[in-house]
Amino acid sequence: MPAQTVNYQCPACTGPLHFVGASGRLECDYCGSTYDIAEIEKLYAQKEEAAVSAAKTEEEKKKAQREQAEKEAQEAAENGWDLSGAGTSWTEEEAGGLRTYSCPSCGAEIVCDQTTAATSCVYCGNPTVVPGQFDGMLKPDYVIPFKLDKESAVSALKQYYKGKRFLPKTFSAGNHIEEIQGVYVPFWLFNGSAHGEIVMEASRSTTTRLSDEEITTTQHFHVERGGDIRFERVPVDGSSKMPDEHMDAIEPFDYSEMKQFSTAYLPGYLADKYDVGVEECAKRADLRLENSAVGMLQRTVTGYDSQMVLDKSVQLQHGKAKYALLPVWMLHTKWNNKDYLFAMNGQTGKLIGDLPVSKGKFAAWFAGIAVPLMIVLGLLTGLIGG
Amino acid sequence: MMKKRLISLILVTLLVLSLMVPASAYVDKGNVYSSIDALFTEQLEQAADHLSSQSESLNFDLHVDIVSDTEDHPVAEYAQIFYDQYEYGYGENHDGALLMIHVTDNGSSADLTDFALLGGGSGAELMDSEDCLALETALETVLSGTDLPYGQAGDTCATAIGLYESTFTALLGGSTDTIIEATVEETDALDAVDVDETMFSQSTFILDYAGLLSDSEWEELEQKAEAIEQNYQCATYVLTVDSLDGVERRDYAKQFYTANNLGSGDWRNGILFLVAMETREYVTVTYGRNPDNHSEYGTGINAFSDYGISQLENKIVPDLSDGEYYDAFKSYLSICDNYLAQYTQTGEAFDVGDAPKSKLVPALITILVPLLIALVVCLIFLSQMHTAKAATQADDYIPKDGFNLTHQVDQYTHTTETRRTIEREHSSGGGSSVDSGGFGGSSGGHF
Repeated sequence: MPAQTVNYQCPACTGPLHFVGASGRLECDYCGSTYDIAEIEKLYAQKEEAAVSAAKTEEEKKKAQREQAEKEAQEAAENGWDLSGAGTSWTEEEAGGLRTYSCPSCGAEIVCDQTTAATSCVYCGNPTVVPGQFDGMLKPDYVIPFKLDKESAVSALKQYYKGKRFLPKTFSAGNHIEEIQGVYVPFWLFNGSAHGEIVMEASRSTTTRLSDEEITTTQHFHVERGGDIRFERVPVDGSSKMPDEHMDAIEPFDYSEMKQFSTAYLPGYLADKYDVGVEECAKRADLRLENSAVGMLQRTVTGYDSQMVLDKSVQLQHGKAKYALLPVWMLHTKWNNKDYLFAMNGQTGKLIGDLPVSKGKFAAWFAGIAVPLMIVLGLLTGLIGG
Repeated sequence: MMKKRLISLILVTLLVLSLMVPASAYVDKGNVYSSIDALFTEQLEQAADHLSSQSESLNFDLHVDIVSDTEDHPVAEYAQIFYDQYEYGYGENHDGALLMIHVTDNGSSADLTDFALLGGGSGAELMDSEDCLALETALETVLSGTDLPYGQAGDTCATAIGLYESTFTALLGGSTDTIIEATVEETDALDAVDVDETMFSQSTFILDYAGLLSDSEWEELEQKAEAIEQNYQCATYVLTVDSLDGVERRDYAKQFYTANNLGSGDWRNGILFLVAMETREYVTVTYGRNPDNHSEYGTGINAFSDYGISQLENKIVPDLSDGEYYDAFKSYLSICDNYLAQYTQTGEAFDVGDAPKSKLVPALITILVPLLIALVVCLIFLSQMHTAKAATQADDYIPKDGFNLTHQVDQYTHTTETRRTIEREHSSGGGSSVDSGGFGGSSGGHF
């Protein structure tokens, strides 16, 4: 039976290969050989195909097994045995959400969900790619390979704690990174253009002071702006597992380093395929485009003291949407039984995430600023000490 | 004894005031002649009226001549000429008196140059009496001043006529007025115009004719007022009466002040707070000026700015309304004490500028501004804690040549104009205002 997963092996020593962001090559930990992506791709093209068909066969087999189990249960019921309480079979949904593969290295079962495209064997740690996930339409167009490693993510998090004045002391000292994962997150990259029109009322004021009167003369203008705005590769995260806020906040990625997709970039990291469709994601992109278009037009209205938008309209033209895997380090920590999730841009190193706020520190800072200021002002105004 | 003197004092004063009924529509100069028309103020006309009627009732011809020219005669001689020439005086002996006031007309203002007092017939005998000497002394104080506006000069003459009339009324002992009771003794009546210094050192400052205070309260306030007078040479009076007898409250207070020659020292510095119970009115008057130069004001005017007096009244009137008279007068004296202390120390009255400005605004600023700053800073710090935010725009993804402005209109429509009056700083309008009679103070009100 051909393997369902691909585990890139070193052509020299058969040790597992994994992608190293710093060098941009596949490396072998055992013999130290490094390989070009293209080289290994060529070598494994055949193997992948075999793995895909194997995975499909396996799925069919499982379906047959399930049917068999149901049939048996039914028969048992007919024989007067009530098996309904004796272990429930996987629901279609549950069974459909899970995949099991055997590790090509140690043979252990790897359980992962339907969208997982690359993972590591929990037993032997072998990086594994599930190539069937990127079949046909699902094959990403591009990938931005990881550039920063796990260590830089850890140190970036430590750096992130610094200068956060409301961070509870025990948080940075007592919290441990529960989990750190390099994930290739599926993104939709939207191209498009917007035609926007805004109508505004703007005014310019001049004030003259006479001896006992202040005269303000205001000139009012009717202002219109129209324009075309082109957008390129606006990213929207297509994985429901990844919080949208986190994925938006680590933007932008540097597209100049974007590569044509190859599974050879994946070993050593987790990879998901998208599970939020392009239509769904387009809604979020549209909103951003509209806001940006209005903002661009509004910024061309200058030389006025005040302006007010009376009317605005934006027509969007959707261009091609592309599918890309973008590198993100996800760091997960636990503190006081609460989860804290951080995301770092695996390419630029931008790290974001919500931190707990110490009420005590907040109060101390608030009082520490307000009270001395009050005393100083009090002394200045003569309220204190006369 | 003191009480009795007080009663007689006030009765005489009331008599003076009660005689001043409003002027009739026609101008009857009566027994008063003036060569300068402009001097005839309402007050003077009233005084003239009363003088005429009082003359008749006393059967004693009281005349007042205001002249601008004595035709090179000394004023006393000129007065005698008038008395004889115009046959003043009633009866065979020409019983009567003449007060001649010499006023120099400067065209737009007047100098109170000189005066003479003489008596005819039985009047001549009265001239040497103590009362007449006292009257003369009092008139010397009143009838002085240069470059006075006509109105002020006229009012001053009216005051002089009041003194003149009341002295002779007292001397002749007769009155048709019902307020004067038979018990009024001649000597007591003299208090009305007595300027004897020793008398004032014994006199009271707290003139509680309405009987609002207990003896112990009165004594305490009296002592306090005495202490103030000694410290600052400025008298602080409280005058409580049952009724103003129809006289306007400010006029009543002024006439009382003048008639009783209140005030400290030659300049007669003082402040008087009048409370009239029947109509529940109050008023403050201040006085104090150089007897030799009426345009020079003393402590009594200068230490009490208009603003200071309004503050003073604001403070004590609520107590009056509540019937807490002792508290009100106690506050009055201590506030006057403060005002005088400040004036003595700094030479400047408590006024709008150094008023205890409402502490509410600075207090609010002192509290709110730091809170606001702290809030802003803390919110900035807080925003650093929350970085996982959804994006709302896509500006980063507009290529360099991605924006093309196709339509641009900037059309002028119209002009609007708003005008705002710049409010002047309130402090510019400080100081003490003085009326034509040289009195400062307030216009008073009801409590």
